[in-house]
Amino acid sequence: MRILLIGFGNVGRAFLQLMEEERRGFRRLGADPRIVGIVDRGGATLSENGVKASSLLATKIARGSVAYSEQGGFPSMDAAEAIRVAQPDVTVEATPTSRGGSGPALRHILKALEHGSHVVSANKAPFAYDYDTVMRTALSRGRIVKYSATVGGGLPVLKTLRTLTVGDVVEGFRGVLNATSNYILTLMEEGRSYEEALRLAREIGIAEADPTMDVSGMDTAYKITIIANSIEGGHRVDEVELKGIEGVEPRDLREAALNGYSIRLMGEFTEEGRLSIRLMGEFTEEGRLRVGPSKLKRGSVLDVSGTLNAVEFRMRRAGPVYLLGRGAGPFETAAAIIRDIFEILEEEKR
Amino acid sequence: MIVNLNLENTGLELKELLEKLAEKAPQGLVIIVEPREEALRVLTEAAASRVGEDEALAKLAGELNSLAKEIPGSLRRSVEAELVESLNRIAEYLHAEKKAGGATPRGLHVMLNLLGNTVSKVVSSHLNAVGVDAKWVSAGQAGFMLVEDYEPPWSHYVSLVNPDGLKSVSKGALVISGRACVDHEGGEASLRKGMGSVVSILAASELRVNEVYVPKANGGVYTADPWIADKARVIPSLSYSEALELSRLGEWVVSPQAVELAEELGVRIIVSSIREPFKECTTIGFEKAVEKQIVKAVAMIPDMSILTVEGAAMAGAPGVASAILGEVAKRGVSVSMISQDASEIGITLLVKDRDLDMALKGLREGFGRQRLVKRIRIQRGVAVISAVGEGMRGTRGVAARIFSAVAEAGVNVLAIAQGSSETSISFAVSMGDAEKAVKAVHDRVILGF
Repeated sequence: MRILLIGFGNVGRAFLQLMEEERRGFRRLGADPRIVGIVDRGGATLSENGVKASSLLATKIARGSVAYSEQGGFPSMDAAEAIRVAQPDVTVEATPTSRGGSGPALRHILKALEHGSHVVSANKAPFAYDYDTVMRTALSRGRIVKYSATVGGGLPVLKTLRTLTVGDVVEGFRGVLNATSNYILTLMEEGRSYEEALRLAREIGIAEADPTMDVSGMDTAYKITIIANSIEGGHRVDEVELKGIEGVEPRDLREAALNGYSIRLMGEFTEEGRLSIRLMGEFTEEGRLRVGPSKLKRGSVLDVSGTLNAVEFRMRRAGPVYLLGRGAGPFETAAAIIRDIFEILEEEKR
Repeated sequence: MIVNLNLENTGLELKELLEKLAEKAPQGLVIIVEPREEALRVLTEAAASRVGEDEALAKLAGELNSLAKEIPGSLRRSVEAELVESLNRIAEYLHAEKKAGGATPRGLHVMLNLLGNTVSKVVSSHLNAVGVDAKWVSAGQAGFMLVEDYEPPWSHYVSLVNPDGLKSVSKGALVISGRACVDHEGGEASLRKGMGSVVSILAASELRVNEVYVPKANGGVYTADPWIADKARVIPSLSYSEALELSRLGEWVVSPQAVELAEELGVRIIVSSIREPFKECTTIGFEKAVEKQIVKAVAMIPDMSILTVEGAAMAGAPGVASAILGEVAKRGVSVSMISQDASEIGITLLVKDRDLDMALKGLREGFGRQRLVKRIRIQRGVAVISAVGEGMRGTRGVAARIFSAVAEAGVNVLAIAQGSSETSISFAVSMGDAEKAVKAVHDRVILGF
C-alpha cells in the first residue's frame, strides 16, 4: 500500500512515528504500507521504497522543508503534482484546518480522488464546508473517504455513530467537544480569570500559542457540523452562530455552581436537523446553528472536567448513548488516521 | 574553562567548590549545571500523581534550601525569595496537571526545566556572592535544541543550533541550566539524564576549549566501587573506549553519548575533585595509559534478570537473534548483554529486573504461536560484572585470569559475553555473589597484574 502524506506538522510527524510501530498490525492484514511521499509548504519528498523518517525530521528542522531531503527532495513541488507523480493508494491529508473555507485541503482531497486514491483526512475544513462535494466525488470515483480524526481523535465518535445508526435513528446529540475550552472553564471554576487560566493552559501545552479556534467555539462548530453531516449531510459550518468562552467571567461560574450547575461549551443536534450550542434548557426552534457556553447540571454525565470530551447521542430506540474520553492530541489524531487506513484495507477486501 | 557541574557527582554543598572555580577562573568560566536525579524523579512522580503535591514540594524545598544555605547575607534573602516563587510556580503547574487529568508532556517539561533553572540561579548567586559577574541561562537560551528521531529506537539527543548564546561568556561566568532545552518549535523540552554532559562537550568544542572539568565528590574514576573493594584506587587515565564502557556501567560520571562526542570532537574530560576542582584525578582522552594496566576497572550493574530463549528449530534459522531482540525492543526494553550458544539453540539476554515482565510478554506474543521457540527460562536477581581495559585487546589469558579469580572466590558464573572490541568482558552472577565477584576481579586481577 502506497501512502502519500500531505502536511508534516505535529499530526504528520506523530503519524509517521505510529506507522513505524503499527507495521505488524498491517502485515496481519496482508498489507505492507509504505509512505512514498511527504508534502509540506516548501515542496515534497518522494521515495519509491518508502521515506526514512529520522533524516526527514532533521531536514525539516534544519532547512524548513522536507523538500531538501537527500532521499529525493523536490522544492516547490505542490500536493497536486506529488499526487500525480506518486500515484498513492491512500492520501493522508494532515494540513492545518483553515478558517473561512475548505482551503487547499479540498483541492488536495479532490485531486487525490481524481487520481484514484482513497483519502484519510485529519483536516476538518472540507467536511465542515464542502462535505457533499467531497462525498459525491468519492462516490463517483468509487473511492473511500475517511475522516474520523476530525472529531474526537482518540474518542471514536464517528465510528460509534456509524454503528448506532444501523437499525436505529439519531434523534439528536449534544457534547463537550473541545478539550482546551473545557480545561480553561475547569480552572476558572476555582476563581482564576480567563486570562490566567489560558496562560496556564498554554504553558502546560493544552492550549496552542494561538487558541482562537478553540476558545471562540469554532473548533466545536466544525465538529458538530461534521457529525451532523455524517448523519444527514447538507450542513455548512458557516450556518453556526458562534459564541466562545472569552466572555465568561469567574463570577458566572460561581453563580452557576451555587445553583448546582457547571458551564461547558456544548454542541447539540436535533432530530429536525437543527444544530445548536446553547445554555442548558434553551432549545431554539428557528433552525439556526449556534455555539456558546451552556449550563449543565452538576454531576450529570456530560459535566466532564479538565481535558475530557463527552458526547450524548439520543437514539430513537436505544435512548441516550454516551461516549466519554480524552480529547485529541497529535498522537490520538494520528491513531485515528491509522484506524481509518485499517478500515479502508478491510473494506477493500470485502 | 568549561565545568560540567552535575549535582549527582558533587552533592549539594557547593560553596567551597564554586569559590575555588571563581578564584581560578573569574572570567571565561562556563558551568553547565545538572540537578540531582532524585529531585527530578520526585517532580515527575508528583506530576503523575504517584507522589502527593505537598510531599514533593517539601522534598524540593529541602533540596533547594540545602543548595542555597551557604549564600551569605542579603543575597541569600533575595535567592530565598526566588526559591519560594519557583516552588509556588511548580505547585501551580502540579495543580494544573492534576486538573488536566494527568501529566501533560509539555507540562512536565516546563516543570523539570523550571527546577533546573532554579538550581542554576542558585549556582549563579553563589558566584555573585564571591564577586564574579555571573549570569545564568537555560540550555535553550544558550542555543541548544532537542532533536528526536522519528524511527525506532526513538533516540533523543541535543544539538547546538545557535552558538550566539555562548558568546557572552567572555564578560564573566556563564551558568547554563544544562537540561533545560527547547524543541524545534521553541517549546520547553527537558533533556534526559546525561545530556547535560553532552551540552558541556558541545560548548567546549564551540568555544575552542580542549577540556571539560567534571568535579566529583570522591575525586576521579575508581578501579572499583570503594565500598565493595577497599583497595580500590583512582585510575589516572582512561581512553575514550574504556570510559565509554565504564559510563554504561555503574561508574556514572558523564554519559556514554558525551564520551563518544568528546572523542569525535577531540575534547578531553578531566574528572577532578570537589576539593581541588583543577587537579586532574582521572583524564579521559586519546593518551595511552600511563600505566601498563591490562584490566583497569571492574564495575557492576545490579538488579538484572536473565532470559534464555531456547528451541531446536532455532539452529541455523537465519534472523532468529534479530527477531528475538526485535520483539523485546518493541516493548521498549533495553538489552544489556547477549550470549548465544555456538549450537544456536539458545540465546541468553540480560535485561533489568523491572523490564523482565515486559520483555517476556513481548517474546510470548511474538513467538507464542510459532514452533521456533520451545521454551523461555528466566532467572531474577542477577548482576552483570564487567572488567574493562583497552590493554585486554590481543592480550592472551585475561579471560582465564578473570574467571579463575571468580571461581576461587566460590562464585558461579551464569552467562558470559565479550564485545568484539575486546575492551571488556562481562559476565552474570547471582546478586548474592556480585560483591564477592567484583572484589575478586579487583584484588586478584587488577591489583595482581
